[in-house]
Amino acid sequence: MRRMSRRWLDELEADMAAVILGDGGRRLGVAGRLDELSEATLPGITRYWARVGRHVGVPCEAFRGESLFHDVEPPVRSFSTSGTTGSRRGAARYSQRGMRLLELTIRTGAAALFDGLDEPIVLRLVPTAADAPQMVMAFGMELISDTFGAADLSAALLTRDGVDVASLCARLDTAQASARPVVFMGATTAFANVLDALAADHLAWDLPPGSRMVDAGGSKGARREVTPDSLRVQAHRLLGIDSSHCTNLYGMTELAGQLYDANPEAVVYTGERAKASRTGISAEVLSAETLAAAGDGRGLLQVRDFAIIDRPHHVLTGDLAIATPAGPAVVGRVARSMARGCSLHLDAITATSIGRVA
Amino acid sequence: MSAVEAGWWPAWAQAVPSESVTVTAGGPRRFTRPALGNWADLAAGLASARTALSGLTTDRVVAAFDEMSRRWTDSGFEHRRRAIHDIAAATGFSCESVAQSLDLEMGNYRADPLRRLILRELGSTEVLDEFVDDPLLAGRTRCMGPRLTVVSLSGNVPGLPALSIVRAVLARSAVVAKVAAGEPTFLAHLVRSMVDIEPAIADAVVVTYWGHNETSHRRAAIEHADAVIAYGGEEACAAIRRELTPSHRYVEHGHKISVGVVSAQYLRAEGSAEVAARIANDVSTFDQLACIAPQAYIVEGDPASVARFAPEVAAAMERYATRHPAAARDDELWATLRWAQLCDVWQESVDPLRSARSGRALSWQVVVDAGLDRVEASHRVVRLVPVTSLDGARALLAPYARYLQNVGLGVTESEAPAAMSWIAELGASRISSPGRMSSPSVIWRHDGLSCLAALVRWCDVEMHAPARAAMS
Repeated sequence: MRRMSRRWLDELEADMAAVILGDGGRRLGVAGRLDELSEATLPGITRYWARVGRHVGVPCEAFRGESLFHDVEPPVRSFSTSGTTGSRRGAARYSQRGMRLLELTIRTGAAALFDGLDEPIVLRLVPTAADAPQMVMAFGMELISDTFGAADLSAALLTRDGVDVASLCARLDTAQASARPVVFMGATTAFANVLDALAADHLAWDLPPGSRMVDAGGSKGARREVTPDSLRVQAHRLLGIDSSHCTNLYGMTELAGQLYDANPEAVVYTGERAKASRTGISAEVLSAETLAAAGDGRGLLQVRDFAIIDRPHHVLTGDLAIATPAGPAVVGRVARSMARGCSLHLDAITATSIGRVA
Repeated sequence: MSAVEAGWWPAWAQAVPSESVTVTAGGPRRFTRPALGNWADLAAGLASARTALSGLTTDRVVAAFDEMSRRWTDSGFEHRRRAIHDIAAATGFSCESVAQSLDLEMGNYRADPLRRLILRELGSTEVLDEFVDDPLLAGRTRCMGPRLTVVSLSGNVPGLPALSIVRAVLARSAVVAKVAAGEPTFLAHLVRSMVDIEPAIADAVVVTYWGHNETSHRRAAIEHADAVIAYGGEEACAAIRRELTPSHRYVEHGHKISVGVVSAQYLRAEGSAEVAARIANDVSTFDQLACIAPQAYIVEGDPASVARFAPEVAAAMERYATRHPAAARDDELWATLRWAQLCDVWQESVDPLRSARSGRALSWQVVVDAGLDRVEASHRVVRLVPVTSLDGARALLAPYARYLQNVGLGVTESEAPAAMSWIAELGASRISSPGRMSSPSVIWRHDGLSCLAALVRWCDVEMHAPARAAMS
C-alpha cells in the first residue's frame, strides 16, 4: 500500500480548499488525486472500478455497519449514519484535515442562504452538537449558526424531551417584535411535526421580511406523508415565510458538503426542486440502464464531493433522481422500492422486527 | 386514450346504480362498482345469484372448474390469449412468462385435485350438497359456505387471483373481488370465460376495484359479506382487519418469504448442474415476485465450494432467461436492479468470499453472500449463502421465522426427517424439492391454513333419532 507524504496531503488539502471556494480549474486534478488516494489505501475500490467503470461512485451501502476510511491520518471525529440510507448504521470518520475541509464546505455552501441578512436569529430544530456529537446535521447547523447568526438570540430547540416549544414561541415573538429575520433550520420531519403542533394550537407568526426556512433530509421516517409543497404552504401560513425563501438541503452523513435548491421552480408535482451543483460539490444522475450520465429521466444520483479526503469522495447515494437542466431533483430512495408481488424482503423484516428504520 | 372495461359486472347488475373508477396499468382500465349508497343493492343481487349457485352440486361445480382449467391451459383459448396480452401490458412481464404462470396456476383446477382438496379439508365431497353420515358424531353433518365473500387482492402474479375465487365458489359463495392495481386484468377474463361453461358461476361473481384509501367502498363491501379473503402487506391487511366484525370469517395471506436449503450430500447426489437448474426454475418463475419464490438458497459447504457452484446457477439462470425473458424494466425498476447490483459488486470487491454475477440487461443476478441480511431484491436475484452445516441454515432463518412460507429442501433421505422437523418448527407452511417451489398444488394448506374449511360453517345433527335412522 502506497503511503502519501505529508507534503502530498498538504498540497491536496490546499487545492481542495481552493476548489471548495470556487476554483473550478483545479477540479479535474483534485478528483484524480483523491481517486489515487482511495486506490492507494482501499484496494477494493480498484476492483470495483474495474467492474463498473471509474465514473461510478462508491455505493453508500459501503458504509453500512463499517467505516470506510483511508486511514492515512488518525481519526479525530466520527459521525453516525441515520440508518435510513441502509438499515444498518454506519459511520463517517474524519481526520483533523478532514474536519477543516468539512467546516469550510459547510460555511461556503451556506453563505448564499444568508445573502442580504445581517446576523439573523438562527433557530435549529436539531440538538446541540454537544448533545448529539455523532449527528452531522447537529454539527453542521450549529456551525452555520455560529458563523452567520446572532449568537445571543439563536438556539438549538431540540432537547432530549423533544422540541422546546416555549423557547421557540418566545424567540419567534422576539423576532417579530424586533423585526429581525429568522433563519429556521432543521430536519424536514421535525419541521412537519412542529408546524403541525403550531397549527393544532392555532399559533402563527408573520416573521420579518428576509426570514427563511431550510429543511434537510426529506420525509424519510416521517409520521405522515410530507411533500415539499405541503411544507412550504404551512411555513407561509404559520410563519409568514414565502415559498421562494424556503430551501431544501440535500446532505447525508457519508458526504461532507450539501446541495441546495437551484431555484424555486418545482420539477415534480409534489414540489421537489432541482439541486444546484457548485465547484466544491456536484451531483449527476446516472442512467441505471447504461450507467452513463442521464440527459433526462430517472436514474441513480451520485455526488462528487471535493471536501472529502478521508474516504472515497465520489458517492453513489442510493437515491432516485430526475435529471433536469438545472440539476437533479431527488424523488426518493432506490432500495427496497421494487416489491410488487407478494414476496417480502428479508431486510425489511429484520428492520421491522428489531426496531430499525427501514 | 379512453379506458377499457377491465372488470366483470354481470348482466343482472346493470340495474344497480353504479359508478366507474379507472386504474392505470399498461393503459387506463375502467372498473364498474356500485355507487357508494348502493352496495346493499349489489349484495341483494348477489344473494339471488348465489341461490342459483347453491343449486349446483359439488360435482357440477368441480366439473365446471375442470373445464375452465382445460380451456385455460390450451394456448389457443381466446380468453387466455387476451389475458396474456393484457397482463403483459399491465405488468411488463414477457408474454412467455405470463403464459408459463397461467399454465402453472390454471393447471391446478382439474377435477381430481379439486376433489382431493375438498376431501382433505371437509372430509367428504358431498358435504357441501347435503347432510352426510358422520360416524364419529353418530349423526349427520353438512357445511355451508358464506353467502358473500369479499376477496381483496394484491400483487401482480399472473393467474394467482383464481385461487381464492375457486375456493369461495366451491363453498357456493358469491364473490366480490377487488383486483390489485399491479395486475387488474386477469380476473375479469377468467370470469367472462365461465359464462360459456357455467353461467351461474359467472353471475355470482363481481370483479371491481377500490383504492387503498377508498375506505368507504371497502367498508361497504365488507359490511355485506360473511367472509373476507385478503392478500397484501401488513398495512393493507391491517386496514381490512379494522373493518371486520366478530361474525366475519377471515383468511389472510400477508406477504411472506421463501428460501431454499441444499445439503452437501444432496448436491453431490443430484449433481450440481441439475440442482442449479432447479434453483433457477424456483427463482425465475413469476419473476420471483410470488411469495413462493425463494429469495435465497442456503447451501451447505465452505465458501469456496459455493463460489464454484455459483457459475453453474448463473448459467442455469441464463438458460431460463433465454426461454422465458424477464419482465420489461421501467426507469424505477432499472434503478433498483442496478443499485442492488452495484452494492453487490462493491461487496465482492472488498470481500473475496463474495461474488456477484448478472445477466445481460440485469435479466438475472446470482450473488454469493455471507448472510441473509442484504436480501432485498426480487426480479430474479438470488443469493447463495454458504453454511457449514444444516444447523447453520436453521440459525440463519430463525430471525425470519414469522414470515417463512415455502422452503425448497434439497436433502438426502437420511437428512430429511430432522430438517423437515426444524423447518416446520420454525414456521414454514410448505416444503418441496428444489425445482418445485413455484408449483404448489391447490391441495396445499396455503400459508398453513385450511383455506376452504375456513370459509364454511358446519351444522351437526346428533342425539337425533331420525338422523340416526337416515344413516347408511
